[in-house]
Amino acid sequence: MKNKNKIISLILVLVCVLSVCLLSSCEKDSSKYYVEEDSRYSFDLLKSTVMDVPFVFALNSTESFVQLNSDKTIQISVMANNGITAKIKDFIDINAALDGINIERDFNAYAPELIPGASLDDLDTTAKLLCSSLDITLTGLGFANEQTEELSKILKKEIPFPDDYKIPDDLGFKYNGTYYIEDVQTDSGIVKGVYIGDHDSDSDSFLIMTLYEEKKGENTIQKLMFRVEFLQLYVRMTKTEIK
Amino acid sequence: MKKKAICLLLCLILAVSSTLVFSGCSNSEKLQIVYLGDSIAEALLGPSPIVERDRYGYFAVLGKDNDYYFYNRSVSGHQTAQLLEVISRDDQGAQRTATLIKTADILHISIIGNDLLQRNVGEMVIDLMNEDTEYVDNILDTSYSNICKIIAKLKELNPTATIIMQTVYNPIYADSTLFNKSTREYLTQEGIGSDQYREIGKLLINRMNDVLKKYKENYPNDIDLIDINKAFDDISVADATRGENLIYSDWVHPSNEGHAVIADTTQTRLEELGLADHKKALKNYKTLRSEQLEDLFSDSVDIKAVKKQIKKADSCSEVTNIYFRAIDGKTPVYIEGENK
Repeated sequence: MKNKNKIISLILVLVCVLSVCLLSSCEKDSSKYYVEEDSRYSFDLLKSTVMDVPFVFALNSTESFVQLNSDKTIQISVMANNGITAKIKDFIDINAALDGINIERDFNAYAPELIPGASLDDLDTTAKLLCSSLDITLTGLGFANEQTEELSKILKKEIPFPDDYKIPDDLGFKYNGTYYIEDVQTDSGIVKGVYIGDHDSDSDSFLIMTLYEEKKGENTIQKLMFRVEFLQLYVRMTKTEIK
Repeated sequence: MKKKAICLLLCLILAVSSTLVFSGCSNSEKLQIVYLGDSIAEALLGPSPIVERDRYGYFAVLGKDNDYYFYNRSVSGHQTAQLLEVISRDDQGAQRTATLIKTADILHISIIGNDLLQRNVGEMVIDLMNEDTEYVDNILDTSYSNICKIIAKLKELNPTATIIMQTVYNPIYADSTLFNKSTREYLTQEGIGSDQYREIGKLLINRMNDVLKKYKENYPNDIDLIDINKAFDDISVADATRGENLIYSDWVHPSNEGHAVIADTTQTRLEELGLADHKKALKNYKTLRSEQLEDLFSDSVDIKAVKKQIKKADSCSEVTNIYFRAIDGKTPVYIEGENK
């Protein structure tokens, strides 16, 4: 009788162990990991470009960064350079630039489809829908009634862009979401992919970054880079101290 | 005797549990599909709202329906020359397009539309009406040459993958912005009304699709060509309003329903090729649309009745028709409490 119990117990334990082993071996999240300590990566403004134009004049170098946190969250902060108004005024005549563009027609062709409920007549709601859709917060844009009414009229070309315009110093956006890191095989070996936001478990993210290291003398520098092909956006970042 | 029976029983339990655990996580039979090409495949413009891209874009619908691993590496705005450049690159970090191409079972390509549609469509249609084909044919000669190079490169990277290409649908209707003011004025002078725009638009669209058909004729074993243009046109002929609803509000990209029609048409072919299982895909598709009904339209649609209809459907295209007729004119609630 004792022997029989022993055999039964042994086999049951075997079944349990085997099941756990097999289950853990096919656990989808097993290869995902996160940074051990919060790590901030600042934009290399000269090496980051959109349509081959470097970011250097447009972004605030200290306030624009990507931060990977040990709690599985990611923050992306993109803030305009404080002196951007003067620089834009030096290079672009806004009213001339807007002359050939039918903003109202283009807005109506895309915005209400991308974010149903969006309307040039209600920029406050439109901004809220945009932020909720993309998990972002906009900074530097107040949507007080007078301002939005004026902006709405400008976009509809009912009034010209004011000559004395000033882009707010804290204009920008922040994204707060989740990420994971996974080592993936490429034709040059294993690389660390940083996958941003939710996605189908059988696919991957729209936004994928790559963590890598660069040797500089005796030091090893931690780098992060990503590209968004359709925007011709190439971003390179270097790990910096969190202030 | 008892001991033997117990041992036998326990061995059976062991075998069954092991099989169940294995089958629960077996990935060996999953196929990998990689999407390449332009904005039609990238589906940034088309799905509405954009947060539903992963449930409306055909790349995701086919991926989910068939339980494939699916990776979308198409790029909005790309023409044949740019696709050739993308697939000729080594991997760019974790994006690993080259590796994904090499390991794919199916390569699905949407390309050539931008070779012509990024230009003055109206002028080209007028040229073709006047039997002046030189400008268009010069462009399409280059397109053909690029497509030959694209397929050769893909076959070099992955000789065993099934390569699927699709024809470009005709997006031109009476209100299409692809015909600008001067085109419309010219056509009016010629006695051509806006109700005929779709027909004359075919001169350009068919000429473009002939390039893909020529490739298929010359190299029948290299690609599978799915006639999305015919699928859209058949719907348009049967029901002009529904046909027009397959096009997004920018008059270029496929709408949510347009994406669904592309997915359904492709699904049929994948099943014919033995790369998809009808029963499984239909079940998954019914689940997908039923979930969307509940998530997006619970306030405006009789969910229970529509889900019942969906449950009875025999094909993905029937599910598509039921779903999109049910939500026609309804605004999705995609952000709680904010866009009601």
